[in-house]
Amino acid sequence: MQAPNPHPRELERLAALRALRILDTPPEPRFDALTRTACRLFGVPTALISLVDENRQWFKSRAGLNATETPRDISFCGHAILNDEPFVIEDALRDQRFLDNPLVAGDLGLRFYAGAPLHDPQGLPLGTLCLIGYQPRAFTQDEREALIDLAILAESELTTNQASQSGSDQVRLDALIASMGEGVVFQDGQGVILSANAAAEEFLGLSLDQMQGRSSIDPRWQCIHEDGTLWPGDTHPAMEALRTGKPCTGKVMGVRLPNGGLHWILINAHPLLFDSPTPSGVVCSFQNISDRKRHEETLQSLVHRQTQIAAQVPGMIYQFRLRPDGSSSFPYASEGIAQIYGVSPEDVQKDATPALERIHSDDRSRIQASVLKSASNLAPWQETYRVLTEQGTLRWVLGNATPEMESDGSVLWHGFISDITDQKIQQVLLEQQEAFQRAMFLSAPVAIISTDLSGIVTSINPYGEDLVGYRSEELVGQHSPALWHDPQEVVARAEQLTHELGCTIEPGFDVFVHRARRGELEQREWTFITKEGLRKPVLLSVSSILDSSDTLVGFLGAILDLTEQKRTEANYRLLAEHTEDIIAQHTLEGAFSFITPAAERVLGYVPEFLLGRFPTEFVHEEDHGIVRRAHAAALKGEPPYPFRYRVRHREGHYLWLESLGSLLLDPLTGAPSKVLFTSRDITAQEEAERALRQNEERLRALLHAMPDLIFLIQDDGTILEVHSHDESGLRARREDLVGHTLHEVMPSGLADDRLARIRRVLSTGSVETYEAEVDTLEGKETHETRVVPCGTHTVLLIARDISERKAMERMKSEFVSTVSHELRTPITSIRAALGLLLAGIAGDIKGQGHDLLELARANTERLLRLVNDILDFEKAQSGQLTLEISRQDLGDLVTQTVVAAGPYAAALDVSYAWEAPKEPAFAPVDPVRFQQIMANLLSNGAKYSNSGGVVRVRLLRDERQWRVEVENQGPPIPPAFRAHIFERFAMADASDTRSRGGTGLGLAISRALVERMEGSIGFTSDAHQTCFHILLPSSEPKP
Amino acid sequence: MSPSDRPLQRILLVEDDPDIRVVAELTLKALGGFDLLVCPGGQEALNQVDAFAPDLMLLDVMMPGMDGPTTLLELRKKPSMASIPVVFMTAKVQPGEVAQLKSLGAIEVVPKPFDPASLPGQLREIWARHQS
Repeated sequence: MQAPNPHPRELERLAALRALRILDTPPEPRFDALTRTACRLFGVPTALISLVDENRQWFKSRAGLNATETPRDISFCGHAILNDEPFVIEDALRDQRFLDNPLVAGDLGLRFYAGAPLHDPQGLPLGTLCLIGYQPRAFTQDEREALIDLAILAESELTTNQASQSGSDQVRLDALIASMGEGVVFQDGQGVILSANAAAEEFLGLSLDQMQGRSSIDPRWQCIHEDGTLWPGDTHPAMEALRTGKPCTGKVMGVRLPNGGLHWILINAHPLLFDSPTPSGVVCSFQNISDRKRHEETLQSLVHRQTQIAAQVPGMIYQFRLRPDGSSSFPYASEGIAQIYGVSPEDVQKDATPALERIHSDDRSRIQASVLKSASNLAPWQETYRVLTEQGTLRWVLGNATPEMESDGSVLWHGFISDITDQKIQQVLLEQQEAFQRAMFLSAPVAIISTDLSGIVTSINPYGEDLVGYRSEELVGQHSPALWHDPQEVVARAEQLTHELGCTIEPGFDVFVHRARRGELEQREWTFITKEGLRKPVLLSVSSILDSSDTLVGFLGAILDLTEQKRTEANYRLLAEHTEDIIAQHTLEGAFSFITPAAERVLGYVPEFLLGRFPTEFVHEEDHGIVRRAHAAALKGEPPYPFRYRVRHREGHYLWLESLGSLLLDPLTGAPSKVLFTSRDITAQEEAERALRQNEERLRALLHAMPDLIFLIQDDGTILEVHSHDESGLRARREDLVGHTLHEVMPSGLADDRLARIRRVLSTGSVETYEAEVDTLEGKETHETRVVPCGTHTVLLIARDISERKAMERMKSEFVSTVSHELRTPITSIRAALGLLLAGIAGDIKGQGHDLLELARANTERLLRLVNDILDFEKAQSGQLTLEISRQDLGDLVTQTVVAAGPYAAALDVSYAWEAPKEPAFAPVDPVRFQQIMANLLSNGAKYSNSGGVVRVRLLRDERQWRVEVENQGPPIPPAFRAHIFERFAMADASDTRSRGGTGLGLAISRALVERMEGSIGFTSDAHQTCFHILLPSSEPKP
Repeated sequence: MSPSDRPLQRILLVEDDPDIRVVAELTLKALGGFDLLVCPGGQEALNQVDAFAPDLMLLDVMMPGMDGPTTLLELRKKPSMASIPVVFMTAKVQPGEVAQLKSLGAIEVVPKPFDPASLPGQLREIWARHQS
């Protein structure tokens, strides 16, 4: 298939075609007549007037065809317009160009075509008048010419169409434009006015003649924007439309009239394009909107004024619309909505939700329900509710609104919401205050009685009932002061008032309220007489009761029971007058304002002398600071603390006072009123304490100087103090001892022993001494420790390092031991040699020789005794004497000793008188040592007896002890010697030693031994006899 | 040890003091009638004890060189002398010392100075006690 080529002047051709403005217009009879004629004339089923557009052929008239157009590329006419002669296809199936053309091969089945081109006046082909057959046929020359003739008719008709139609349209258009209420102005491509209608003339205040030739940019035009600014001519909508090629519509423009008036117009400008991108002209149409503008301005000023008013009103004026679908909005809301809901009117104009969300969640459902109710019965709405502000605080608001039903089923309320938070707060406060007053009235420890103006009791609180003893029912309605006042007091006060005021005050209600009537507070002490007849001192305060308009409506009496206070005051006075403590009140500045008589007794100043003076006048200069500080502390209300200072007695010497200061507050105002000081003379105490401190210091110095370690230990073993001149003697560092128990600082066995000693010392009150090897910081030391009771629960442990002494003692003891051994060795051989001689080993020695041998032997024995005694004594002294204590019958032991000593006594012509007791006398003793003691006493008894004398030996029970006595007749022990009789080498007469054959150690050893056996030894001596005794603890006899 | 009525006969005396050696020898030989060997020190006694084979040894405690207790301990090391009765003779007769000397294995302690008249009897008594 061959598609038609475009026409050589295709663009011009298309422009000319479009200029006809015929495309897509309705069928017209004058064209249809032509095509019908063609069908008849040529005997073809179809004839068309086909106009070849850019991409289609459009049929202005079509006889025998339903289609209105077909595509250009399959068209036959597209080919036809390329020739001036008719284009004829007698059989399309035989033509290579068309045999496969859809019009040919398709349902239409076109076989024959003959088309003559139609030209415009310029000769451009616009389309064809064509014939179509569905059978092949020949087309004769005649037929060709006839077709050309018909085509000329059609061409003519096409051209005629253009001319005639445009002419009639123009007339109609002009008529239309002329009759329009809108102003219409035609302007050419430069904006120059070509024509205008009458309305335009009227609106613009200019005749057409005046307008014609004037352009929009002509400076004579005075156009303004709505805001009053000048509208430059080059931005006039007409010029905009010309410049852009697009309509410029809906502009509101003010046009200044030549007569000075102003017209407001709504102007539209449409460019005239005529298929050209550059507008060839522009049409402006405009409405006079001056009236509307005026109305709008009026409305705007009204709205403005309303807004202003609304802004002045504390609250919001609003419209609220509830639509049938449940949505809501505030079509109008004054700026006050910001204060109420915290939103702007715009926020809620379409949707009320942002405002409604602010309603307190507790109130929201209630408000919703009341709004719905108001909507259903169209009754005015009023609610008080809470709104949450952005800051999270609550506001109370009161809303009022009147609903109306709208045509669409919405309900619209007009209303007002005001902020009533302040009123609400006031209301709550008022309620609280009322509740508080009520609670006060009911529970205050003050009697409250109210009366009306005439004195009739209107109320009394429970405390008041208790005070006067009457019940409320008995009092309300009664006349005050009849029931509970002392009539005499009332009369006396009435007289006093009459005197003071110079006008008569009757002894009745007026006495109490005359001041309150003048708005003053009347406060006075009175005596109340209770129902039971008791008299009670009270403080009555009367004030007036005013209503909200400040009108006096009654009186209120507040009554304080002073009974307790009076009693306290009386006690206080009694105390103040009799106590040795000085009680003084000072002004806030410090001057004495009151002082008790004790001041005179203690300091020698009468109270009157002190009043108005300042304490510093009497206080020792060095103590001024102390007193000032105490006064300042009291003024600040600090808790009282005792302070000491010196005060000059009237006679010049100083006394020590200890004082406590405190602040007194005014009972009515609560403000500081006085400073109270109580002071006590502590001179004696202070001096004693000073002396004690000195003693303590001295003691401390002493303790410090002593070489001893001194511990103060509590009966629970806690070490309270440690004193030592240096640390070397301590088991540990001082801080590791003080505050610790003995068990913490020494092995538990030792600690038990020490604690037992401490308790023993505390229970017996006697001093105990022990020696111990101690591991000290410096090494091993031997300490001799004395446990001394010190108070009821503490002891002093005084430990002395006796290591050196012990070493000396050890040396001495070893020396003595060695010496006595060395002495015994020769004694052994002398004694044995003498014994052998006396035993006759060298033959019988008789006479003087024998006597001399005996003498030598006796002195050997004596020498041995002396050595033994020295050894014993030293051992006793050094504590090395070891006893073997067991339970012994003292009677047996004494008997043995008496028997053994018998020969010795007999040699002195003395005898022993001894009778053993019948019952055994058991005692815990070392039997050898006991016999040694007895031997010593018996030999002494014999030695100091007169010749022929009898030494009496007795064993007696003495309470829980055994008493052994050895009594001899003989010269008394010289008084001067008695105190030393148990000391070593103590014999009354040095010559005595030799004459009596003693070593001078016997009694000293005896005492040491007795004491080791927990007994004691003593004696009595007079002119005729001397009696030594031993006391030994008894063991209970065996059961 | 089986009981025996054999009387005490042979005594070995160890004593450093020559004077005491004289009076002791007189006492034990002349008064007591014992067979006696006297040694001046522990070492000499140890040297001669086997040859002499005493019934009983009488040991001085304090001696220069080897003292009494040491002599006893050395003596006990000899198998032949493991059970020979030993009596100390000393000038130190404190009870504690006596107990200590006995604990070394002595059967008795006799104090110095001794009474020559009673010493033999005293030893016989000790011997008899020991025998029983």
